[in-house]
Amino acid sequence: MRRLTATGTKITLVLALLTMVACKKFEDAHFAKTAWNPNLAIPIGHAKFGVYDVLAQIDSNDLIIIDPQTGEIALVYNSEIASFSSTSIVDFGTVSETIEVSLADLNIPASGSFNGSGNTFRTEPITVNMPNGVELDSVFFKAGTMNLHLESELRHDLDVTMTFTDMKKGGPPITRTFSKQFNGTVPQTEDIAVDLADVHADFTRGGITVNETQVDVVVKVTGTGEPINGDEKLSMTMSIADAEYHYVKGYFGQQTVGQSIDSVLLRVFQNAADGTFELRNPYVNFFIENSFGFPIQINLGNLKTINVNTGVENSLLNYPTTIDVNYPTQLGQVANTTFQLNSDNTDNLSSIISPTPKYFHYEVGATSNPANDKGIDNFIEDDSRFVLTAEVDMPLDGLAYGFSISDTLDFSFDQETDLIDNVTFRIIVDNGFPVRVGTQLMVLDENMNKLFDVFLNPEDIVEPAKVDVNGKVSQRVQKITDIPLSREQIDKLSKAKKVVVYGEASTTDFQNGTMVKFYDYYDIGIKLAMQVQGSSQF
Amino acid sequence: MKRLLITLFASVGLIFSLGAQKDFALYNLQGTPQAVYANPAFVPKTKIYVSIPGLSFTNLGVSNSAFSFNDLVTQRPDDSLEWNTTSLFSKLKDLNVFSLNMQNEIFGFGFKLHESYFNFSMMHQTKFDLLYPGDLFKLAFKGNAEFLGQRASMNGIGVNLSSYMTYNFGFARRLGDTFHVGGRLKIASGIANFRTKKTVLGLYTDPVTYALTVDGGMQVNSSNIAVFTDSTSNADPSILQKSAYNFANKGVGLDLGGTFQMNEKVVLSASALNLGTISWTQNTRSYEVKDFNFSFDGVDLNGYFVDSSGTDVSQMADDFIDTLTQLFNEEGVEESYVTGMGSRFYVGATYELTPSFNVGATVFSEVLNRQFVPGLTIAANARVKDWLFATVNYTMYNGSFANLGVGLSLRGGPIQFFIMSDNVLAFVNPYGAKSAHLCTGLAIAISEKSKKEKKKSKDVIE
Repeated sequence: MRRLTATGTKITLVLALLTMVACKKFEDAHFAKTAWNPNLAIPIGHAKFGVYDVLAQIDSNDLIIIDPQTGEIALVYNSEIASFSSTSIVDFGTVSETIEVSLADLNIPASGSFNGSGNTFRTEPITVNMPNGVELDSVFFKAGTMNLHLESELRHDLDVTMTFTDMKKGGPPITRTFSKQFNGTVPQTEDIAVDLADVHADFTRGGITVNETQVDVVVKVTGTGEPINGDEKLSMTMSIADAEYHYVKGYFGQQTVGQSIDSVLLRVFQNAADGTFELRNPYVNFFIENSFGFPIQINLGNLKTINVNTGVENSLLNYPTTIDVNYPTQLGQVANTTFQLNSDNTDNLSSIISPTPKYFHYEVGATSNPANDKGIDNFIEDDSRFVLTAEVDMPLDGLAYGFSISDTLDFSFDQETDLIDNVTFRIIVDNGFPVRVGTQLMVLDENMNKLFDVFLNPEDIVEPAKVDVNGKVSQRVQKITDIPLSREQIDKLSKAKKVVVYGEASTTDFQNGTMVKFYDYYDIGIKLAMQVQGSSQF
Repeated sequence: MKRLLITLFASVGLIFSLGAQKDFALYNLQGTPQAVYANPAFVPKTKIYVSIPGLSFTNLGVSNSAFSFNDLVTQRPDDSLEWNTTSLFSKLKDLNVFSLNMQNEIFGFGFKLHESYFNFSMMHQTKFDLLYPGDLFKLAFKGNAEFLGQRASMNGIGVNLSSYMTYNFGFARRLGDTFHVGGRLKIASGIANFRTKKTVLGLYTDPVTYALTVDGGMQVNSSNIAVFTDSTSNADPSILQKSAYNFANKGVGLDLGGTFQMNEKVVLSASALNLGTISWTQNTRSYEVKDFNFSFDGVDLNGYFVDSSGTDVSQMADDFIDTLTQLFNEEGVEESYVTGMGSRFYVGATYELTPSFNVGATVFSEVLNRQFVPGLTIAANARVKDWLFATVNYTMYNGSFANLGVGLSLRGGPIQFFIMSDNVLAFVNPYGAKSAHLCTGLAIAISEKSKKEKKKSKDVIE
């Protein structure tokens, strides 16, 4: 035992000494490059789009809620397709009347020196020449000038009074007098301008005619001792210039008051290259706002849809060709008329929308007094308007497929990518719309040569939401799409100048004819993220 | 740079191959005056002990709980080195600690008086802990894609630094034939402290959207740190020197110990050290980041697609910075706080095989990051000559099983020299060691005369 412990003691001592002195020297060494490839997962961005963002991005008025209770929506595209103003119907015609008075009318004989007097009184009609068979009953002038002109070869004093008995400005008839003191020169002339503003004129001469008013003329000649040759002339001329009216009453005849050939742009199809779009109940509303006081009839013609890409035109068949427009019966009123083309009064309205047309084409004309009934009192006010608006309503209740769009976008990428080995973009779409979208992205160089397709095959990045039996979305669907870009593709990005985006959309289960509905609360959420695999050494 | 790193690591390994301060060897080098620091009931063989200022007890240690240099670096066939991240990640735990510790006895003495042993010392202690989470390395090397659907946790990340002086008044006494008890009152004067009281920091990456969520919160306390960190501070650097003795940051601690001679062969011992706290009140500054949770799921792209105005990314960045600024109270507040001294516990037993050789086992435990960390030491101790003590021990500690400790104490006349390490393998293979330790010193130690010497003296007189 003692030997053992002695040995143990020695071993302990030796070990202690040995370990104290045994220290390995670290040799000089160099480090080899070590790969450092961190993989970073980074959120890029997020967005949420509602129905207005998706379907009415350019103009929020393109979308309307057609049922406030349910939030059912429709795409609406409208255009003012015809309008006309008051002057296009009744432009106040020309008025120019001359009244001549002879010496015989004045009972003045020829004489070497006339110191007596003579006078006469006459009532003369004034005719307004109205175009297009317009028959004026009365006019309430807003502006204008009635020019009166006196011209006389008599070398004597004159007093001429003109009274327009049917033209009144608030009270008595308009009366103007020429008083001329002979000053030795002939002809004696004088002009008087009468402001017609707020003058009410009757053009029926007491209800016996149209387009005529009258003037009472009183002429008195007082001799100055100068001779009377017997052939001197005395005349009064009146004309109306720059006439504008507050309103005109009468009968304006049967005339074409408006014609238009135009179209409504259906913006939802604006970028569509192809596709089928079947709606259960599209309709076209015509809204007419009319403040002209006479019957108007709208004539519809050549209604059709046009796909300018394909040249395909689809004519609407068996639609009503005329619309009787309501009209006001009193001044200041506006009469509205709504007329609708739908599946009940047309043969094929739904089907002409199907091939994703760009335009709804129409030709319209408007005719006044279509029955030519002169018993109807017509009137026009200076601010009378006739506006015909066509509105193509597409309640989003139906199905679509093969609805394709494509666009070419400018692209440039000049970032340093040496430290990147690969990148995988991730698109997360949380879709509340009953629509599937397949996508392909093609990256092009400056010569429009393809560098690479982002997807091997077109990829459904948006899966359609599920719908119930009523076509209403019952369950949102999320789709995660990863887009890996290899090192080679990343290198090519520096040469990329364009990206062609191709999308093809269809509604949920369209293959089985499932009709889907769109509501105002639908939305789609999009999140973008990426993983970047670094490539570095240290 | 790489060479610098190697040199730095190696230097740290060598210079601080000096004890992660568990003092396993010191505990077993009973009979030396310095063993009293491991157990105040350990009465030395010497009658009088006086330290030599500047050369006396110096206890240095470094440890890295997660990995050694060899875990981090692999030698390739062409003798070049490469970073071995696979090995690194396999070694990393949720929270890892890199520690530097130093104890330096400024002055000390001890003497026996009858059955009692009195001792006094002035000890400077410095502790530095760098707490680093394993996920932090994984994030840096692998990226957050490795954490999809998981929270990369940086909880606990931080730095703890503490420097203080203790004035130690020790007393040990024999009770009867079998008991020795001892105690040491430690009056502390704090010099500087930085404490990471709480850190919560995590990064969660959504597995689908990759949305990032950062959560966190932090509380730190400091005292007399502005001298080091704030060049604009008006703090007088001499305040650190004064703090060593002015007790502006007061602390009181206690070491307790005892031994029990169970029979002729077996001695049981136990000690509890550093039972105390320091109250830091001088030049304190506490910072807090309130608990926050910030998520980023990318920029709002609606602006790009819908609004013509687009999204102002720079504005978003400014808002983010403002948010962080609001979270972090830059000014801090002045408030006192209390830290512990780092309690340690030893329970040991020795079996005497011969009068000059014994074997023993010691169970160790310490409070580290509010957790008890255990250790076990098996030792062989030899009193080779009256002037030579030696100990060899093997320690298992905190998941480390390669710790071979050695200690020697030599005496020549009144001069005593000792040197010990809890892990001499760090000297043999510094690049494979996770911890290193060295405790050494030079002192004047005057022993009682042995019976043989006394008889010889008597014979000479007769």
